Amino acid sequence: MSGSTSTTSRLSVMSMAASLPSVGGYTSAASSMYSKRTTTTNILERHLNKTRGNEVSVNAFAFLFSEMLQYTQKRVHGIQDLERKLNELGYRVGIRALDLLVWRDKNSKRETRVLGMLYFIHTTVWKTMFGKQADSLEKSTENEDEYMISDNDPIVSKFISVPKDVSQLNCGAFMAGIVEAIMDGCQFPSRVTAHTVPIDGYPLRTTILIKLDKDVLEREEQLK
Amino acid sequence: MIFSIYIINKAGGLVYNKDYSEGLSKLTSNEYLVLAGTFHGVHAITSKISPVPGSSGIEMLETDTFRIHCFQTLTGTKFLLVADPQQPSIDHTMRKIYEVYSDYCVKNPFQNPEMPIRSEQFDVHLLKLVKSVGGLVVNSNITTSSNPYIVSGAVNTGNTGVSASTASGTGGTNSALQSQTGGVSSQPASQPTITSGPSS
Repeated sequence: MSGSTSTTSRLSVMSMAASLPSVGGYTSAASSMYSKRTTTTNILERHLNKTRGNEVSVNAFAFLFSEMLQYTQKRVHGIQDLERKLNELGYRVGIRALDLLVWRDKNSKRETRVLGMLYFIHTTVWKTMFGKQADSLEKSTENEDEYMISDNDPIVSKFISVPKDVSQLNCGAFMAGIVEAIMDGCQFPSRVTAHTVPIDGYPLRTTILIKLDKDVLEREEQLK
Repeated sequence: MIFSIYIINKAGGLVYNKDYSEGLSKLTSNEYLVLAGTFHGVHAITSKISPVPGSSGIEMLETDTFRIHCFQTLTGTKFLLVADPQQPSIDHTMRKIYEVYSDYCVKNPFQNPEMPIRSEQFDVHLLKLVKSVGGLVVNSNITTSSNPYIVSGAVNTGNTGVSASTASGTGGTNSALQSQTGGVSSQPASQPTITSGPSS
């Protein structure tokens, strides 16, 4: 088994990190009662642009995500509903992540073309959220308005085995929500869904399908 | 060589069992449950009857042909590892099993705690782990040879004869095991010796 399963691998800062006090934050708060404030600063007082050492443990995220799923599962009827709800949760993360990314990007510009936008998601967003680039960015051959971003080993479903009776469920719906929020926030309204497309050696491979709205395509035509 | 892995929940119920060697004599599913429950009880008793206070329960049960290693987590879940007496670095293997368990069972939102484990990724990663420590026997010849897993009753001498010939045919890793089972047949009652935990 790969050694990366537990303590070593880390998840890059998601916007969640801003509201989650890290372990270091707790110790400093507790010890400050007895001694002078130590070198670890409160997470709210850290500079937003400093990403080094601010990663969240994959395990901590896995437990949080697991609880999110269990919580959601109790409050929905059917798998469709569950995926929609996960998508909503992802949307809330994505909209905040976009804010943070734009703030951090030194020479950021506003993306006006679809391809530039998708490339931004494929590289920058994925790298910030999951610590690696997405594995592929493709355009659908059948439909003009569909694009696909694939991740061979998505971090959100790393520890999750979906049982047979809900086999259609893809926990990547959460990632789809993030992507949808970022597309929305950049004025590329679209419908984003997640699908499991296993290939050899990557049973968890997930494809994020982005279906652009009609007016986005019309605008794209004018810009050509 | 690792023969089987069982996982017992804190109430003494069997939540997972898997065999990793061919030719093991099977129990019925009810007998597996009884085995788990009995072990759970014996484990509790051994920790109670210890003359030294604060002793852990049974940690290893040894016979001529196999050992059952037990590892109890802080939450009371027990991992039983049935292995060859010569199997090295059991502690490390146990830790790894615990790691796989906490990754793919505890973090899996569809896995209820204390319930039978149905997690595809857990199966896959446990199998990978067992293979990596040399647990899985791919050789199908072993099915005909005498079974190192038989606890009760003597091993048939005729059977041992057959297995000796297959062992010479296949050679290599199996021969040690075969000669050992031969030893059992000469002294049929392989008395289990119980080793209790550290008394400090």
